[in-house]
Formats: sequence, C-alpha cells, structure tokens
Amino acid sequence: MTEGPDHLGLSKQAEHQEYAQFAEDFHEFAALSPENPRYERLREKLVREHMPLAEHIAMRFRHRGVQLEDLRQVAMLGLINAVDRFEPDRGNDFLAFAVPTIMGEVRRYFRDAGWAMRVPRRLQELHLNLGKAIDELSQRTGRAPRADELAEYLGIELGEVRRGLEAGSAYRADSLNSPVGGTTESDSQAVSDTIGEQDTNIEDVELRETLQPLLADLPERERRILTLRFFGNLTQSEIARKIGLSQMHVSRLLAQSLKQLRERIYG
Amino acid sequence: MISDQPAEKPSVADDGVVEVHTSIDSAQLAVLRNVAATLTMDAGFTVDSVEDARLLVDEVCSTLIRNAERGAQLSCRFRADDRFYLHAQATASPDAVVDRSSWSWRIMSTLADTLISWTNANPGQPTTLHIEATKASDGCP
Repeated sequence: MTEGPDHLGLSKQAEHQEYAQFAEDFHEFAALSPENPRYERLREKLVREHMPLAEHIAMRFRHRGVQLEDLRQVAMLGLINAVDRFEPDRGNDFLAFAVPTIMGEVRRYFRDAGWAMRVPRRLQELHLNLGKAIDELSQRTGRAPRADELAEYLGIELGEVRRGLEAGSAYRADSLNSPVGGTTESDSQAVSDTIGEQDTNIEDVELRETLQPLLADLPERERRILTLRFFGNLTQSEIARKIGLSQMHVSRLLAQSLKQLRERIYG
Repeated sequence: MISDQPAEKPSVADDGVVEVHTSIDSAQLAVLRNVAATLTMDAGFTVDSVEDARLLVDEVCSTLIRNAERGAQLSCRFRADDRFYLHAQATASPDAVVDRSSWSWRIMSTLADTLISWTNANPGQPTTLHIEATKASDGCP
C-alpha cells in the first residue's frame, strides 16, 4: 500500500496548499536549537496546525477493535515525531514525510496491541465473542468447551468457530515476535514464594538453578500462569478463573512465556 | 505395516494419520502447531486440550530441532480421535538424548498423558531420535 497523502482521500491540492504555508516555519524550526525559547513555541504551533492530519489518519484506522481515543493519541505521537524529525532541506514537503511516519506509529501500535492489521474486523469480533463464550461455558460446566459446543452456544457454524479460533493464532503469531509484556498487577511476591505455593517438585538442582533466574525475569503474571500450569498442573481454564483472565489470554501468555524460556535456556 | 526394526514402528495407528515432513527450521513450527490444532478441534477436544496439543507439538518439535543433525528432516505423524497422538523423529547425533530432568521434559510430560523418547541406532545407519506423546480429548488421562 502506498502511503502518500493522495491515499488519504483528502482534497489533495487544497491540502497541500493549506499546509504549504508552514514551509518557512519548518525551515526556521529546523535551524533552532532546543534551548531557544522560540523552539518550543514553534514546535507547538507546527504540531497544532497539523493536528487535522493526525486526526484524519486516526479516523482511517478506527473500527479495528481499539478505542478511537487511543488511536488519536498514537497518531499525535507520530505527528510530534514527524515534526521533530522532518528535514526541510532535503526538499520533500512535510506531508510526504509526516503521513508515512504517523501511519508507521499507528501500525506499530496495532502490532504491539497484538492484532495484525491483516486480520479482518469481522474475524476479530468473532474471536472476541469466542473468547467470551469459552469463559461463559466453562463457568457453567466447570470444564473447557469443545468447538461444537461453542458453535451451538453462539449459533454459528463449526467452520466459523474454527476460523475464529485460528484468527487467534494469527494474533498470537504476531505477539510472539514481541517480548512478553509487563504486568499491571502490583503483585510483588518473590519467585521462591510463588513457586513454594505450588510445590514445584524441582528436585533436580541443575534445572532449579537454570530455571529460577529465568522465571524471576518473567513478569509476575506470566510467572504465576507458568507455575500454575507446569507445577500446579491446573488447566488453562482453571488458571483463567483463578487469576481473572480469559482462557484465550492465559493461552496466549503461556505460549509466549514458553517460547521466551525456550530461547533463553536453549538459545 | 512392514518393518524390520520394530522399535522404529510408532504405536500411532495408520487410520486418519496426517504426516508432515519439514526441514529443520523453527519457522515450520507454526505449520505443525496448526495441524495439531485443526485435528484436535475437529475431533471434539476441549479448547484447553486443543491449546495443550499446540504447546506439546511446539515443545516436542523444538526439542528434536535442537538435537537434529544438519540438513536433517523432521517427520511428524499426527492423529486425533478420543486421544491425540504425536510421533516425531529426526536424524540426530549418536549421543543425542532427551534429558528427563530438563525443563523441556517437564513441559512435555505435563502437557501429555503419556510420553516416551528413544533413539534408534543401527550400524551403518544414521541415528534417529524419537519422541512420542499422547493426550486425551478432555484433558483427563
């Protein structure tokens, strides 16, 4: 996909003329040292004047499962970066530089948030509905549901269930490429405490020595999930209920943590 | 099945078996995981067991990939009915062994209901390292 301003569906001519007036400001801004009091004022002006551009890009990416407000903030961040990094002497106009910069920022946000841009919205919604259905059904029956039970519960075809769950693996494949994220829980239990809680049965000294520091490096939530699964022998659904996450989320974090540990232990 | 090396004959029955041969490359893990997920989902496994089967394939195949000889092939046989069967093998160095006290083994043995690993070394032939695992559809052995 080309990312020139033309593809924004803006009235190209009008837009370019409208923004062309800032060319002089950009030249002046680029020459200023950040210590100069005029630097901040000019920077603020340039960002403010180009806000409609960021807004426009944010709007283009709405309805993809993230809050518009978050998108606006990310696009604004992209715009600020673009203003800071733009080099007017290179002969390009600001729009040609800013549009891909802002889009790049938004893309990175989606990537970090987990969803690959290529997963269509309908599948994402299906995936989210499946996640809820899994938790509701396992709450009801005390065990994880099967695909056919999910199909019946949601009133959809079995094939749809499969596709929805597979959309989850696309999601996962992407998030696997990023490091395991931090946790928002402020649980400050020491590793030994967490493991003690579970009776780890690590009798092998060598394994214990290898594993302890690596587990310590995991965020508390991931460590807890891993411990409950592999030392407490709880199922993913049981862990989900215990720590208040969805089964799908537990599943994703578990796969990430295992991959991370594997890379660190075996290189 | 004709085999003059009984130990090499996997206990995975032939009906409904899916076989996948790949190069020794972790990039292939996604394909192998998905085969396991599709088969178990269709066989009526609970979502927990489907995800466990995925993780199991990941761990078994990663273990073989680590031990495999350069240029070797990874061969996997999958089947799912009321249980999930996985047999995977790769050519490995003659001293290759899956350590029972390793983290890998801990993961595999937690995810699987039965787990065995062996090497097959015949004079004049390359050594093959095997891992075979089974798992019940509802997560209970």
